[in-house]
Amino acid sequence: MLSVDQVSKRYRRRGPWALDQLSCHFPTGKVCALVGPNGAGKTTLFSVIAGYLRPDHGEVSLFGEGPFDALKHKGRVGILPQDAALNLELSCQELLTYHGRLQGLVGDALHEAIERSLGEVNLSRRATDRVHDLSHGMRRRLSAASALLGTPELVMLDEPTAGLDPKEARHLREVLTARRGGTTVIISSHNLLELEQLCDHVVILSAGRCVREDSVDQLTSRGEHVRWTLGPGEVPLGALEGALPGHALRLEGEVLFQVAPSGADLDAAAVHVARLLAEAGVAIRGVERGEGLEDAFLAEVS
Amino acid sequence: MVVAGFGLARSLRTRAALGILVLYVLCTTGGAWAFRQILKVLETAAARGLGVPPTDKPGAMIDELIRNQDFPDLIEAMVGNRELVDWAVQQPYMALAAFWTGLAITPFIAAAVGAEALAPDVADRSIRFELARTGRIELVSGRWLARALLLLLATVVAVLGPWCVGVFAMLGNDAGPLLLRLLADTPRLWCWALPFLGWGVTCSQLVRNVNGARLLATLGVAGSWVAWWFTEHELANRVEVAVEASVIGPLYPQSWILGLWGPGWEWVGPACGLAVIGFAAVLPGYFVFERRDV
Repeated sequence: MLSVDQVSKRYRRRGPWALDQLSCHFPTGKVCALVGPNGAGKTTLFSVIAGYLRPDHGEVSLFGEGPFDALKHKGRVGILPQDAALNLELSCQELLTYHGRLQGLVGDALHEAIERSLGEVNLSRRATDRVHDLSHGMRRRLSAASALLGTPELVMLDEPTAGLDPKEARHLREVLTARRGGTTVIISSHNLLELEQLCDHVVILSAGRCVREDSVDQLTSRGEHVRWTLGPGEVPLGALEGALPGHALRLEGEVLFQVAPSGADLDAAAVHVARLLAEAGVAIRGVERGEGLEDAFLAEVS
Repeated sequence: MVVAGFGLARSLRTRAALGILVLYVLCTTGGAWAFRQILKVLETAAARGLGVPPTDKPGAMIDELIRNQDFPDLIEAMVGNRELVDWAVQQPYMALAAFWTGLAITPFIAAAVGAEALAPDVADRSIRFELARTGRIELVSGRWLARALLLLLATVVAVLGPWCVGVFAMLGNDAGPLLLRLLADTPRLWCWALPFLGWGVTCSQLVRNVNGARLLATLGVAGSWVAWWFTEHELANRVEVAVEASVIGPLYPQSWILGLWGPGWEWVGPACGLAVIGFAAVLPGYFVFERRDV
């Protein structure tokens, strides 16, 4: 779908490399996260993929057809740039009409696409308001609507929920989740908790290089690690070890750490653990699978 | 066409477009008023010399001046074409004054209008929304066309100033013929402006800061007059570079200026030449813009 091969970019001739022989790929139909510390090169990579910046070396290929070409890929790519201003003097509807017509939409298809996009970001009631009259968060949502306009095969969103209130941020996450499968979505963000809920694939950048790319499950060991937070009571550790052969179990205070062998059925194991804990009268206060994207991220970039 | 249509509609909504219209009208009206004042001073001095009372409104001497053979001879010495002079003296004199004033001020306004074509959108990065959907050549062409249409509108609206000065503050300008002549001159002035508009668009592609683009565009217009004068009057007289000067000469818009001034449709040829130069003037900026980061 989208591959980045040995791409390097610097902003000044003798300046530091913003991207340093970076290679990664974003699989088709997945919701992908692009994460990294400040200055890691996330926005630069976005801009190179979108053709705003010319790479000094290397190549980007979209849909297996070479670098982004606005005419060749018209209507197939939706982009939410990080800090691009909107035309303040146009209304929301006029702005999307302009963007829609530029990407080849006309007539009923255009009207339907605009209606749907505005609905997706909860701006239908503000359709005729000028962009100038919208709050910062609303402008951000309008930018997202522009990126989602039509039926793009690839949507790239740079900090899409920055400045959005929790309700709107959740709504946008739901919209993006609904697009999973049909559209490849790439999200650059520092909100790792949000990305963990939303994404299937993660690319971690550090100092202009890709330090790790993997599925969220692999990265967070979701298929192996389980963390049980328990209430007071005697934990039947021996019975648990007997019921779960091959699993490593460790109790630290009120937290039971479970590491399953590769390929183990974690759902079936969870049933056994819950049953044995219930029989021993130990309450289960919480269960978390994996070690958390934040921990995985910090381990990779430190 | 989509870029041009939205560019024009957007310009008409902003104070920038209104500013251009007001600036253009003020310049043409100011030029017409300055012409009126000069004429009034001359007529008052002449009336004193003859011992007759001066008129309240200037313009009474124009007919006499035209009937006097010395005046057309003077103009012919300047433009080198008697037929052109005979045609010109039959036109409403305010229209001629407004046309020549327009030739002087329009390049500067056109260059400033062109300088705003892209630079502000590159600076605030709003151009990124468009570049995600259309190519750079389409964007530049559309913006150039939108600015050209805006300039045409400004040129048409700006005839009001000289018309009002000619009809209400001077003698000898009939309202109908003056308006028709002024309107007939607008396409000529517009075509004259196209190369400078193109240069402004080039500056807008080269410089991210809009004020910097305006400054570069304005300096370029002023510089083109100096360069043209040097080419026509210095290089052309040097035998060793006369051929080169004759090749370079037509590339200056100023070389086509006399062709715009004349009867019938003879001005269309030079106007087409100016349109080609106008298009070509966009290209140096595009070659840089096409490769630059935005």
